[in-house]
Amino acid sequence: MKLQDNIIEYINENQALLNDSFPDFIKDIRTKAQQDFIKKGFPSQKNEKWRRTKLKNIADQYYHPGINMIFDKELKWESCVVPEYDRAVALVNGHYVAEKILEVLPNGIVIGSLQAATEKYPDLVKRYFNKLVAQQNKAFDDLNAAMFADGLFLYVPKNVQGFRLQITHRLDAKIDALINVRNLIILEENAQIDMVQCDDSNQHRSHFVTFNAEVFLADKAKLNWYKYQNINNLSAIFSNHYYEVGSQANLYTNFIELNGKTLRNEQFAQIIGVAAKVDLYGLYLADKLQQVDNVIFVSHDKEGSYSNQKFKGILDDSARGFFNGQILVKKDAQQTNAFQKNDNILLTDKARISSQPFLEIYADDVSCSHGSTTGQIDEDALFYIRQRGISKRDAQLLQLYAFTGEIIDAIKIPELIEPTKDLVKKRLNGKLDVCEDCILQCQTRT
Amino acid sequence: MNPILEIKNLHAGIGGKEILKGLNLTVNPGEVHAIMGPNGTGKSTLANIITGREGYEVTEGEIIFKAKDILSLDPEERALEGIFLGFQYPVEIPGVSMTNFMKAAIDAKRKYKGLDPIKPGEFLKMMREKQALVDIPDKIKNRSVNEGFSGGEKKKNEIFQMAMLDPDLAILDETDSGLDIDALRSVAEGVNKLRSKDNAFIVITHYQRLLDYIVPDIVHIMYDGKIVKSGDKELALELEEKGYKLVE
Repeated sequence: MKLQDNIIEYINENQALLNDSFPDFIKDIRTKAQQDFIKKGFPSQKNEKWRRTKLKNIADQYYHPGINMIFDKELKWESCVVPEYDRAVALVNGHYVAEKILEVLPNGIVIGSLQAATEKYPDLVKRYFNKLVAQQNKAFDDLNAAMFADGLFLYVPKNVQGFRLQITHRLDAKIDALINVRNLIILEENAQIDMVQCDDSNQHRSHFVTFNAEVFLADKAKLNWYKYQNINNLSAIFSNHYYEVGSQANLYTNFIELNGKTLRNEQFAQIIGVAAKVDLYGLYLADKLQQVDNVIFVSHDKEGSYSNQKFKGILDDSARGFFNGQILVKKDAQQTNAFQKNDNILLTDKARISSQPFLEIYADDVSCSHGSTTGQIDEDALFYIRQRGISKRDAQLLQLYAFTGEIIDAIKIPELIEPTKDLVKKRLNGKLDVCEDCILQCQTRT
Repeated sequence: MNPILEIKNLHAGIGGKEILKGLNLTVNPGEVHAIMGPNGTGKSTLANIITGREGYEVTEGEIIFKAKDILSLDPEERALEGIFLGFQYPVEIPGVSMTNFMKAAIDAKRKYKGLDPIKPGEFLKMMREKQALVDIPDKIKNRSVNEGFSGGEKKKNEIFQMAMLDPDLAILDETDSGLDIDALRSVAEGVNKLRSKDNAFIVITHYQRLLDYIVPDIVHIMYDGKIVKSGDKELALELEEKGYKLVE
């Protein structure tokens, strides 16, 4: 456990650097997290939710623990092409990067660095910060709270709607580095935004990233969150997302997990109001020795809400996947409609998926379902397509691409659909740069 | 005149079990052959082996298509050479629209011939023309291949694809099974419109009924992995009357 020891040593030796830039209420949370991490460390492989994940190849490696704490002013970023956004910001090596560190837009939206927000709006931040994390305290939450330097702060006032934000989350350290990012997103009543996030990497370096987000949706608030993860084969991102969902609020996420050594997305949605709607979509494509995990928990606390989890994956070579989805329907959550489905295609004998659907229901008037399928390419369909003169490789691509359609078709921003299709096609093709001969005819060629 | 297809002394099977036991068949351009025979006699196996489906072992004999030995070719290469199979059970391919599927197939064929991909306008015109030929509704264009199609629509869709791809040899494997008389008639009409002096058909069927509409030049009776009797269209009528004891 080389990494764990390095981090503990760093925490013990850099107390001032780690803690002094934050106000007391953060400092308290942080020092407690530091103590807890020193006590508990990384999750044990005996933990059911971590048994299937190869943590060893991260824990035994050296990542510089302190990069995160030093802000390199030279860092630059370019946005990827996402049309029709209102504002583009970046998180680079865990720091918020934009023209202004913290700003209030004309419509009242506050956007900027979380670190800056803790100083400028301490009361607001204090009301929300760590509330959801403290209730759950999942693996790596302690590490994230103990070490983060910054992240995104977003506050959307009551009735403000139609704002589209692009977030480029870039890994750009010149040495192998541990990076911790902390985000806080607050939507007041009847507020609505779209967020499009791209996780990417610039350097051929190993990054180990913990990305934590606490998201609060007040009554009737609506959040659509799209995430594209495409980082190098040396890097890992563990993301924990916490959502509090109020009455008649809508939470929609669609995460496209394209590339990385290890990608883990945990999403915990707690529906505390009535008549809310939660849709969680995910598509994961992994090959070589990659690992991709989705751990989902939707809790229905009150009556009349709807939730749907739909996750699909294609695993090639020796890739491994882990899907753990849970629906909890509490005693008061009558007339709940809750659904969950996980479908997988394994392309080789060595690829593996562990799919664990769970339902836990304490109310008696509910409609719930869960299901999981894992299969191979359909040989009958393959022959049918080849009999029409289409090559075996293209016949496979057609089928795999068709399999992803259900997730891509769920995208609600029309301008995002074609770029997403292109990314998925290129990924399935195995090469992002050679597509002259491909049957799928991407619109963009790089 | 060279035959389109020549099968000589074909022995083949699956999993060590011999199904075809020395089959001979010669098909010339312009001909329609009907192959009839009881269940389990190897009719569909023959179709699968001609089209190159994986999993079968050919232990003896040869299949010559347009003067070329095709036994070592992949299914797609045989298709590109001009062999089409109308499936007994057309496969549903969720998420792949008929339009995209046909565009991919046409472009694969054009590429094989050294041509550029078909222009969208030209492709749509072609789709419309061929649709009219087999009387299938326009809406299937946007639907996934065979998904949610009725039995009749699936079979018509096979003929539609055949019309699009314009093969030299089309093998129709029990295209008549599960069809009502109207669907049967429109499938047969489609085939008849596509008949020419340059192409050939092998129609595999259990029933003489289809042959009222697609009139064959030669009828073969297949039994226990071999063609045991061949004749003109009257043979089908005789078979209908006497049953397979005719050849037992």
